[in-house]
Amino acid sequence: MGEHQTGWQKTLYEKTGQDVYFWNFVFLMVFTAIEVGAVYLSLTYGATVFALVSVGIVKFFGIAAFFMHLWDDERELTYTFACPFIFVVILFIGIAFTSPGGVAGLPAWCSPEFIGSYSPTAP
Amino acid sequence: MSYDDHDDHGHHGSWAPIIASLGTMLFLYGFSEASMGITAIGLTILVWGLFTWWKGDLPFDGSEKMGELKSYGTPFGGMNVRKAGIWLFLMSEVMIFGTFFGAYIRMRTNWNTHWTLRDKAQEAIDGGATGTVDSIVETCMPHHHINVAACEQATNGLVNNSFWFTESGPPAYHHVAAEYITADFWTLLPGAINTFALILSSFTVVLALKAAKNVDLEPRVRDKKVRNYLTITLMLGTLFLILKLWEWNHLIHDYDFTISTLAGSFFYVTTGAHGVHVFVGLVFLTYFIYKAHIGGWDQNNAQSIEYYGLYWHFVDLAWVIIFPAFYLY
Repeated sequence: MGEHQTGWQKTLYEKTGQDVYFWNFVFLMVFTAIEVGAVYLSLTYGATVFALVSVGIVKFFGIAAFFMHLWDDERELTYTFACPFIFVVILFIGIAFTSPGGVAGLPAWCSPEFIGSYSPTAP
Repeated sequence: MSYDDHDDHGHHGSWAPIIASLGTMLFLYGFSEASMGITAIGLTILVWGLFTWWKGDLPFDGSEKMGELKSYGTPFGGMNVRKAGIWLFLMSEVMIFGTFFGAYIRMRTNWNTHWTLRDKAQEAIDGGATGTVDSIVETCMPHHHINVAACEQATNGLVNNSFWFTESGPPAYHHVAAEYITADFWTLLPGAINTFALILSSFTVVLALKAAKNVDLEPRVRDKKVRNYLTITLMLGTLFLILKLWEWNHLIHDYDFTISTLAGSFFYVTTGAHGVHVFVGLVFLTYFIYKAHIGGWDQNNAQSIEYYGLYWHFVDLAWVIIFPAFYLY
């Protein structure tokens, strides 16, 4: 628990009068508003996915690093928490490669026909 | 765990968590078998286990003598056993929610729809339609959404309205909850409020922990602050569940989005599993509030709130993924 904050967290508290937990809470609320707003802005498909994924990553980091204290706690705990994500990523990769277009849609340099050139017209 | 030579040192030898787990198993088994008897026995054992567990925890003063043991060896050497334990538990939780997301992503790639559509596209080409299988599929499902009119034109009428909206058999296209939820602002509002509520509740748990650890506060003031912050957390968690049930009711009755569909089963099982986690968190929170009410928290045993907070933050963390994936996209 980071009630004895040092470094930038201490500076943040001295300058703003609020600790890192408060600011983390504020940022999470703001990013959630952005997340909901992005859906209503009629963005393109790619922009919507980018907005949702990037905001999700930021919020995930905010909760895990500060609310769950991984930023200050022993590194072993971060590794412990990260460990199952390896299996989840493997699962997702498996899903990706067995989905429609998952292999056929790969760039040329990543396909079985790739013979050493980035040009799709290479012999 | 570190045991020393002093016989008068107690250790965490309570069977209560195992009893509670056994009760949970019987309760769920009875539930699945529709056996009221087994369900009732399981629930009784569960409540008894929890009661025994909490009764043993009430006088806990944070000392090793009262059960706060240190682990030894790699990788958690010197760490409280309960802290290492809650993180290991969260590891298993990541795997559980990871499988839910894996299944959901599989469905969202529309693999079965695609294969059916590819067969139809080939059939259309054989019948004289122009283009390739890939181009027709892309015309029909740009970015995994459907374009009924363009598809009908590209396949010379072969893939028409009846392909997408079948009355019987497996649907060709899975209408996901996000299509209904994002239909207008008011249908999205409960999910959005729930997201804000969970984030706020995570913050109030942090405030409760800070208050419990604050040695500068008078014990009475400290107890009151801890109780109030935890009570706000309880209220926010309850609000979350109420809105979730309201939202389910809305989806089922207004949009006929039921668990009998593939997309519906993914949605209700995942959000339901998350809701169960919230409910379990609230059950434990009730005990924590009671302990705060009788003045049971101070800087020496506040780590229990921290460990509970880890669980509660994880519930928030899971929602951070569920909300955009199931509600917005």
